[in-house]
Amino acid sequence: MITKPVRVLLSAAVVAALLATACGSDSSNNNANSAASSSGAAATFTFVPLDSGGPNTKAALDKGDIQIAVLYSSDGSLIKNKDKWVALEDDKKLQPVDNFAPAVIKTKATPQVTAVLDAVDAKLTKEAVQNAVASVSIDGENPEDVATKFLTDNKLPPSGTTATGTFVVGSANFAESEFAAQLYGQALQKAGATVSYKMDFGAREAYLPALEQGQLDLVPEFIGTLATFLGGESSNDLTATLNDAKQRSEAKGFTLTKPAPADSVNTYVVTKQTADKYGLKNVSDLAKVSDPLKLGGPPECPKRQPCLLGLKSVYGLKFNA
Amino acid sequence: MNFFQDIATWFNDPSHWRGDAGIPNRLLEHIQYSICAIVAAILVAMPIAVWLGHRRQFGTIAVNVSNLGRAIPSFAILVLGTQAFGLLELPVIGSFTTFVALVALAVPPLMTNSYVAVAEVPDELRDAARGVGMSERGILRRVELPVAVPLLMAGVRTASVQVVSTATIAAFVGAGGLGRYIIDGRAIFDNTEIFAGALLVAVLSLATEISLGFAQRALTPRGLRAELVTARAAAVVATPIPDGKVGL
Amino acid sequence: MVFASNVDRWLWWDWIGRNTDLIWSSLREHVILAAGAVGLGLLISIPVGIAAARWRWLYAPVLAVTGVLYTIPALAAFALLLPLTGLSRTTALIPLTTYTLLILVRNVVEGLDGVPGDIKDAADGMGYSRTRRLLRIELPLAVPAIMAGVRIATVTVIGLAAVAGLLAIPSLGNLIYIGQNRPIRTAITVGIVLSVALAVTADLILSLIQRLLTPWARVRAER
Repeated sequence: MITKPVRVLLSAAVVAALLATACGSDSSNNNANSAASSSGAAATFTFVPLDSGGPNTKAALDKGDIQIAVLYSSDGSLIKNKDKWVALEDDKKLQPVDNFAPAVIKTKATPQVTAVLDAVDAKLTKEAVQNAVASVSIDGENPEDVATKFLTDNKLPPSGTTATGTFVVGSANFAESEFAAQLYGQALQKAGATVSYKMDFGAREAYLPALEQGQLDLVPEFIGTLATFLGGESSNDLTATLNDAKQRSEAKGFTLTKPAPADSVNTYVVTKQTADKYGLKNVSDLAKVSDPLKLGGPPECPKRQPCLLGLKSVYGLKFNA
Repeated sequence: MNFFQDIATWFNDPSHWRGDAGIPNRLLEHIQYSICAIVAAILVAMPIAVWLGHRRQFGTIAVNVSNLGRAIPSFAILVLGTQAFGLLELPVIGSFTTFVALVALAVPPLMTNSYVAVAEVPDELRDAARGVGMSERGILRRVELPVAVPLLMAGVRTASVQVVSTATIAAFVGAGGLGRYIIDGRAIFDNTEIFAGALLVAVLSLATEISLGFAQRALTPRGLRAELVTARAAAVVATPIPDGKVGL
Repeated sequence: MVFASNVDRWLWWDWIGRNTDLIWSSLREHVILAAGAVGLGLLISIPVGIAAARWRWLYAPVLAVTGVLYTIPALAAFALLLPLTGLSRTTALIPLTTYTLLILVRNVVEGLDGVPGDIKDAADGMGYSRTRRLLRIELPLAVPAIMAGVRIATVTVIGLAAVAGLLAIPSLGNLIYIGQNRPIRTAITVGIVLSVALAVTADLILSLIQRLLTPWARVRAER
């Protein structure tokens, strides 16, 4: 009952489908796979749009789908994988500073309170934050418990410091922020202040107005991002960025205490094999690589100075995007 | 309206029509992912459903199991797939995780429609075929399948439209397709780019719907075309709209 | 995966125990989203469907408009609404509702079309006004078709509401997203299992409601 014209049409449809498939695959092959290793001169790298320091980027690095991953310097997986992964040194200081610092209502930032917070921040190193974030994000522990343990281990707040007053501590909805909020809050509490929490406040658009209006008294911040958010600029100069952020904050009724050594900036991570193969230690070493490596990062990376734009202009790398 | 001017400007920008990130290449990638997934889903679902429909057995099970599949978010399949396969790219198919998610999306409507299409072939027709001494295979091939073509194709249409509008998820796992504009636009808060991407996907889905509608008509045996209008299936065939949208 | 630890476990009861609040609120929000979208969809589809069944020329444009809305990828719709409605339930409800329209309008029209002509004639003969005939005869007889649409729309919306999770709008999708982001596999498992369970339960409840609303269908079946 299948008539001839029907059969002709069917086969035409099949042929059309196959053709479309074939040309489709051709064009996608030019994208990435076929970039042959050029001899000698610095190669053109491929950018693969993935997620913002997220699981896809890490899975891709681990499975060898990409060779360079853009992650955050505060990411717990960096310390968990320190035997397998190498974070390249930003030797030309491409990354603007973005250190941890608590934003506190001006009237509550008394010298005593500041002393407690400064003591906490002094111990908040990059490794300490990575460990804490790993405990929260990877081992699934509660930020509260991780912060308590950190304070006990580091004998914080130091004996002799005291704090008075009532504090409502807020946080954004990611591990770094939740941990830091607990850390500052519990330290103040141990020093004698009355502390309550409003965690998971969401984005900066939500918690900064709350801080301005006095619904919150303390929020963990990142000085560079805060400066940019308030209309300023972050640079790779710590003092200048801090002063700018502080000035803009104080116009809104809150201030920043001394920032911690820990930060949360883009960091370029390769596997140990890749590092050994090409002799990579600094980001600038990537310029000598003659194989067309793939770099995976957040989709906005090609349009951002601390990401692809800076890798091209500051480090002289070549990308196809 | 400033926004619409921005959209027009975006489409007029020649740089959006060139190279790997250009519309032609993204469109081809999108079509590539879609066709591969649909063809694979047809190969998986149709033979089973048609055979079950011919036997008129296990229909409820087949239909219910595939309906259950509809409740699994494609997003979840994508998340699990990435953990299992990474960014695995295969020749022709492209991103393997995307492929799996899209095939899983296309199977339920294909399964349901194909089963119903064959199972609902009127008994008189089969009996007549048996009466003239046709074999079971002959009945399936020469009586049931041709009569079932309109509903079979309705399933293919439904599945295809869903797959085309969901293939945007490829962009989540670093692959291409029109979803790139949506994901990349979102990353830099560029609503113009997001809208342009959504518009392109919507146009491609509509084009799929319309062209498969023509294919459906062309493939329907001539004798059935007139009858279709009165048949119970007419409602389904005349408006073979997706019976469930699943995905991103 | 990258790390071998508790987070790799598909079922980690300890995590579930510590996060029952999160799980409950995700489930509750998911139910609200799905029920809200289907409810709003019905509110729009029934009058539109009645109009399209009465004035035939309306049906094609209605199908075209709802069909175009249906092809907009959910992620794009959410992303576009974000600047207007923010990270709120509304942002998720608007696209979810528009996705139900195509299914619901079609089934309303089909249901009304399926009412046999002799029944309508009988009602006219008994002196029913047009509105009364619609409310007392045609709509009740269209219930099975409308409910079939409601069932498809509900299962569809339950699957789709997960996408809202990508935007940190609470839902079972957000649970899956958290599971991917931290990453805690158990959260992914819980998200998927609850999503499927919710769909199955909703479908069962709706088919029960359908039976209760159409007692005559049962009588016919028993004979």
